[in-house]
Amino acid sequence: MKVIIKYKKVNRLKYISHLDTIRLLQRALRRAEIKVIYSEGYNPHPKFSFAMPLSLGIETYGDYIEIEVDDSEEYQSIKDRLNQVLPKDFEVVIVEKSNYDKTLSARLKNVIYTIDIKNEIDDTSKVANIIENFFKEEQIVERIKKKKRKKKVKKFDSRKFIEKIEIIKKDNNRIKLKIYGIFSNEGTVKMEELVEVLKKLTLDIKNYKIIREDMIFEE
Amino acid sequence: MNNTESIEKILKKVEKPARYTGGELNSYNKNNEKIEHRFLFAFPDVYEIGMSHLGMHILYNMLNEEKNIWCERVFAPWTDMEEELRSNNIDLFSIESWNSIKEFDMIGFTLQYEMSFTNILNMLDLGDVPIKSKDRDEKYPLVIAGGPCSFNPEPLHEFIDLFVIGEGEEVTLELINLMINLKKEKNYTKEKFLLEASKIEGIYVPEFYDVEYDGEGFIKNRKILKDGIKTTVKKRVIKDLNNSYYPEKTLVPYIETVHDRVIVEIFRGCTRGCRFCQAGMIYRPVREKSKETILEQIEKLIKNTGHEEISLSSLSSGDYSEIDSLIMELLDRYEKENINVSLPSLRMDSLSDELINRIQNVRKSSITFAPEAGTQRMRDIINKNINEEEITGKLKELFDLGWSSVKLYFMIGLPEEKMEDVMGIKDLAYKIKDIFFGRPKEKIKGNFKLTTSVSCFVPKAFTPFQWESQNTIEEFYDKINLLKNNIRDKKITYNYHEPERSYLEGVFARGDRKVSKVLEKAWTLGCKFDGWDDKFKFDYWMQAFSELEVDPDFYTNRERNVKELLPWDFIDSGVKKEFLIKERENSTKQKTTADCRTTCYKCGVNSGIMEGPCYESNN
Repeated sequence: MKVIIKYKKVNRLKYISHLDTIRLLQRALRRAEIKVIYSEGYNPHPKFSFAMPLSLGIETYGDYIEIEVDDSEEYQSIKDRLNQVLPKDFEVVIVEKSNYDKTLSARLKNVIYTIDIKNEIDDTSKVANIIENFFKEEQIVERIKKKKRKKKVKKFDSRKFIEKIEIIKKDNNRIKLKIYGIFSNEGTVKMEELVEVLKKLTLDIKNYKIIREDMIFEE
Repeated sequence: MNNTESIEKILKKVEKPARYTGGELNSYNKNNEKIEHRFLFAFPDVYEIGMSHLGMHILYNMLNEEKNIWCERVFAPWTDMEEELRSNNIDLFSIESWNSIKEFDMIGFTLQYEMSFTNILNMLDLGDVPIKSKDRDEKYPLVIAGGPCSFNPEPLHEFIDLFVIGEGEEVTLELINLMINLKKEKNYTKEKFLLEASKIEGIYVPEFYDVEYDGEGFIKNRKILKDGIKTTVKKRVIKDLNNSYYPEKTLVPYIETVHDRVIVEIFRGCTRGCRFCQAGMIYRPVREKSKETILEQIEKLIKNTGHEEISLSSLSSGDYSEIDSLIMELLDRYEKENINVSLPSLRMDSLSDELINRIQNVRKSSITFAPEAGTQRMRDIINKNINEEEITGKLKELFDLGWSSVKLYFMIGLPEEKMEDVMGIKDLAYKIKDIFFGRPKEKIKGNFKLTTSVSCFVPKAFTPFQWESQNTIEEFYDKINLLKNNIRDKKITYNYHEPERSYLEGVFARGDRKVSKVLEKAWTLGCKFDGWDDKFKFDYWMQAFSELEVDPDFYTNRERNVKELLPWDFIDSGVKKEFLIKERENSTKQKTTADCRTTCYKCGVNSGIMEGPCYESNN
């Protein structure tokens, strides 16, 4: 039986990597005595599949993983059993039975982020214009990839990875941006890259915090 | 000033930030509890190494199970983190509370290897704590140290307020309670605390002693500077390992560490009596844990950590009296749960065929042998009681069972070693290769790989070789190159340790009070992480010696007279000096001494430190 687990990973746990997260979950499943299906072979390991890795240093309130457990497991109890043995900054939010053939990453459509701008913005009324301008023309991002001394530059229009940007007012001079990122077979844009683009469009953003809020999958 | 925001900022800039952020499963956060003592366990190397150290897990949990004590951890920050700390004016902080190390009542360093000493000074300095004991008053934490290197504490006498000699489990709590009580009575001064602490068995307070040297640098005498201070410091020993503290849950790191697994100590001490081995002498007597205790501890630890590997820890696991049935039971119980049983420090020659058969079904990793020397003559000198037939015979058996990867460990620079003994290392390696390929064709399976690792011998305090001269760097290189030029086979990998580092290790392993200022100098010149190849700066060290006119050869390349007063003579390790002298004489005659489970050679540990027979069978 395949189950999908939605979890949050916050505070100091934002500093652990994708691989560390896999290890953390493996051990938590063992502590919770959940019967996980292992792969065959020399070095058996549980069958895990992630929707999308997360960069180091970013908190998430909605990451997803699919795992295979023994059919005798009661999937309704998995959430509580895991939460009892997980460190406090890692929490399982939902556990659901999965009936999909496609993997999570193949079904992933949107990744929702918020960018919480910590500095005061002189004129928040301009922000809507900036966002509007963003969608008007090409917004090129140059991503440098280093592969064994070879430098490769990937250029792309960041607009094609952004569905919409909502402005959330916090108080008079402070706002949060809610970003609906698109995850396609061409990849996606990183939030740090988006921030640089918005800066170029004169958005006054100095001090900010990126949070991954949730993901949307196709049925 | 340390605040969360500034720390978060620098964490974004450093490699592996989780080295500094803590919050691991089974870690303690007692921020909101009533705490009477804040203890900081300090490991003078990076997180990944420190977290693999069993002693840390024992102390951390033992102290935190006390309601009124909060024990936190700090590790040596990597150089990128050090730069960030210094340039942003942030104190080195504990990984639990992120408070400056300066805010603790007591900081306890563990001394696992000499080449971590500069990191101790660097860590104190990074926390804005004066490195010298005399410059720290009550405002600062008390700085203590323990671990194997505290058996020769004098090179650190200026920096450490108090040393724990021997096993620290019980005595650390006694020290903390002493401090709590003095502070409660509003009676705490550093001086008063140290005076009271010095009365506890196993505690050495260097400032209460002075050492006089003669014109040539030899120790003339040790003076006691205060009334009522003991002359000899007796090591502390845990008498009963079954009833001594062992954690039921241990920290589970997020990032990959050197050893990331359930570790259970199966016995302490060693009965083999190898003459070069300090651990084999200072951890006497042998004390075994019962099989039931071990299995129970493993079960709890697996349940509370979720680890996928179990490791049995001791100096020579094959000598555990019920090793076969212990491993069998572990395999029976955990194999089906995909939990791996790892067996370090295991002499393959001590395992039964049945057990070897069983292990080989699980995992065919490489086989490790430590013959330590290449010829029988040399092995008799060092009392490594294993002969060539035993090694080759067992290996042939293992090859037939399907193993094909072997690791061999040797030392060069052992007392009375000749070039032909060094060549013996090559000969043995080649012989093993011939055995593998000399078998019938149909039996040869797998990819043969032999790794020969050679390290440079460093004579250590409290061993029969404590009077010996260490090889010079040149002598070491002659031997290293001889092997390098002669081991020319694609199937045999040859590794060696840098002699420069072993030379320095030699200075501190047998150093006196005079080398402490060299340590300080080398650190101010920029030495740190001396155990790391890319950080080790030998030139700076040599500069420090020459500027201070301290001759390192006085400590390394000099045979001592047995009548000479040695810097560590004031410590009673339980093993009598007469026994060490006798063993040294035996070594020159190539006379071996059997395992002390068969005969008691009266080393003294069962008459001074612990009463009665130290091994059940030799009443």
